Amino acid sequence: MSSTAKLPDEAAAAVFRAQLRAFLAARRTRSLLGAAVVCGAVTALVGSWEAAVPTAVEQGRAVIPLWRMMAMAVAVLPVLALDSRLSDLEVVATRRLRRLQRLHLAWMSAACLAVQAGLAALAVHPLLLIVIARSWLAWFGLALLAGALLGWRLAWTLPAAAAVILWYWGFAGDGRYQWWEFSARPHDDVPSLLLALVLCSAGLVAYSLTPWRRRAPRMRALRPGRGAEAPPGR
Amino acid sequence: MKALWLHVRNSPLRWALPVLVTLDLAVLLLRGRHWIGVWPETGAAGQIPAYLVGVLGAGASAWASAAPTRHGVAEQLSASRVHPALLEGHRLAATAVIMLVPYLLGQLVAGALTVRTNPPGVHLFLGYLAHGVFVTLLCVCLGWAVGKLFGSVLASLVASLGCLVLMGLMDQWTGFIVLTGRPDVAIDPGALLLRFGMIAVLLVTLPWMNGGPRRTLALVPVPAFLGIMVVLFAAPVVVDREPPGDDAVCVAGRTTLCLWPEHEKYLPVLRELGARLDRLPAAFTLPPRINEFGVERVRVVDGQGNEFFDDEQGPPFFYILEGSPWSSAGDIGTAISAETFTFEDRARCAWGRLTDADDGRLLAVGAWLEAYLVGGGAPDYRTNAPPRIQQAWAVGRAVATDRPLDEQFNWAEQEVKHLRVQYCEAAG
Repeated sequence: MSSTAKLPDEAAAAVFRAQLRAFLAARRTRSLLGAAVVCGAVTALVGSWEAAVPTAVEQGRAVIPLWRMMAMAVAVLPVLALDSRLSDLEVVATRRLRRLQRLHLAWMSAACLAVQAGLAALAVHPLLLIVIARSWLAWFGLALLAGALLGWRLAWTLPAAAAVILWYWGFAGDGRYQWWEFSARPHDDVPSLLLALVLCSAGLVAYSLTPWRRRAPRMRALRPGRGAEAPPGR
Repeated sequence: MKALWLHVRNSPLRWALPVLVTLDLAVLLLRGRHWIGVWPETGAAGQIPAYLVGVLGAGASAWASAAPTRHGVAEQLSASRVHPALLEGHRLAATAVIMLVPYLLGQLVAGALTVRTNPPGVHLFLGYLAHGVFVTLLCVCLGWAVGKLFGSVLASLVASLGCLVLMGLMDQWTGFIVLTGRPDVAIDPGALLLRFGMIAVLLVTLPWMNGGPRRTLALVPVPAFLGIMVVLFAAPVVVDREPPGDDAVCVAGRTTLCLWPEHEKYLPVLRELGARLDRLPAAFTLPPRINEFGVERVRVVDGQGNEFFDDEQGPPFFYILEGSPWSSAGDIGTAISAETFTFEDRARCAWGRLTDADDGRLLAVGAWLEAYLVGGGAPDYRTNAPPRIQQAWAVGRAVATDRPLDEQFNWAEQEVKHLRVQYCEAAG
């Protein structure tokens, strides 16, 4: 990789700030953070309102409280924020951009989760915050999976499809839910927590599988005599 | 038409079609199958996927609607020789066509499963099918409008969740979601025509949502949406049907049991139940006729000239819920108990003096009657009745499952005679 000569600390910081500004200029961070605040506000104001959805359980109508829907929206927002107006150029970007992208994803996720949890804590029972956090992990993983496969703008597809599946088949009647219904099981339920962790890890793995990493084994195989040279980029 | 087909072939949603078709068929088939063989239930079961696929469809429609801004060709389209509204109209029509394909395929599969037994009542199926088309088009239009107002990143998420929230609100206020197709109700053609009229207005106004600031764009579909809200409130889509009169299918016996003609698939089950009814001991007084709900209804005109159905009058009725024999047996058993024990006769009976122990025996007889009429097996419904009542029921059901038939009849006759002697003047 290009070797940056050792800059003094203030210069390195200034360079980093310039990179960050350029990075953020191409992204819609502010509007998506605003959307997260709106989701949190909606949860705080009318979070317990319930929408009716048909279910597979006979003659059943499950009710989906609004806070569950907002939990899904807030988990998808940081992944949507990965999309940039210069996405076609960024396909060939390497380590520096990836580092900024990772930082951006981490900070946006933390900010969205904090906003949602903070505003939801005003109106929702504390134990439900644990349910929100667990479902956030699962939705986040699903959004990363969809985004890595289809493009960051389409990161909503897999969470929306999973939501429809969860809400239709996950209700087992009489206020009980299937074990895989991670958005509605009680706060101390372990199987759904494990499922949420598995989905989150799958999403993070999908995120880390950049085109470089996917081609690296093939490229190493093409150059058998030069094993010492690592493939470019990370 | 060539232009429309061109738009359909090149729509970004054609890749979503396999997923939506799979989801529609899964929602239709991966649930109870009691609806097969009854046309109104088939139509209702076939239109349930419209709500769920509609939630995803609203997101997909928003994606298609935001395509020009996504690819940066908004300016080229506004300068085209074809009027921009016509272009948008073609794209909207292509989106609607693609969104209708999974729904219509699902209804085709549902109809094919029911047409094998060829029951009566196809017009009821068509009513539910049309209602599902309305729901799908409403979701598409909602997604399209949201896609024009929000950037292409947020639009789909907002459209999906907004569609879900709107459907929930509409269901709370107007009963928007139709879940079952009982034969005593049907989709009102007049209300359906009004809905389609409003959707047509909406489909015609949405293509004008292009060019211009978002504030003016947001105002364009408002009149049509308001019209739809008004229609949803003012004209309920599910209405009672007229009683079938002579078309009702009946099982003769000590009691005549009558069904809606659309429910003819349950006739064998009802015949077996009627045979078991005929063998009941003489201690039980049977009502002359028990109908399925709605087969015979008494029309009452009150003081102000309002007409309504009074279900307190007329012969007793039973429901067949989700094809379960327990629902009909339970209601028929209740009707027989009411006729045998004459709870309403205050002149000759004093049920107000009922002791707890005798209440338990009464409940046990009722539970035995229900279990006997079904012909065995465990109840397929859950109850949250108090434990005392559930224990009394368990006693009755144990008699129905454990003892031979003669002993059951003896036990039942003893209980009925004891209760009638205790609380009513005439014995037996």
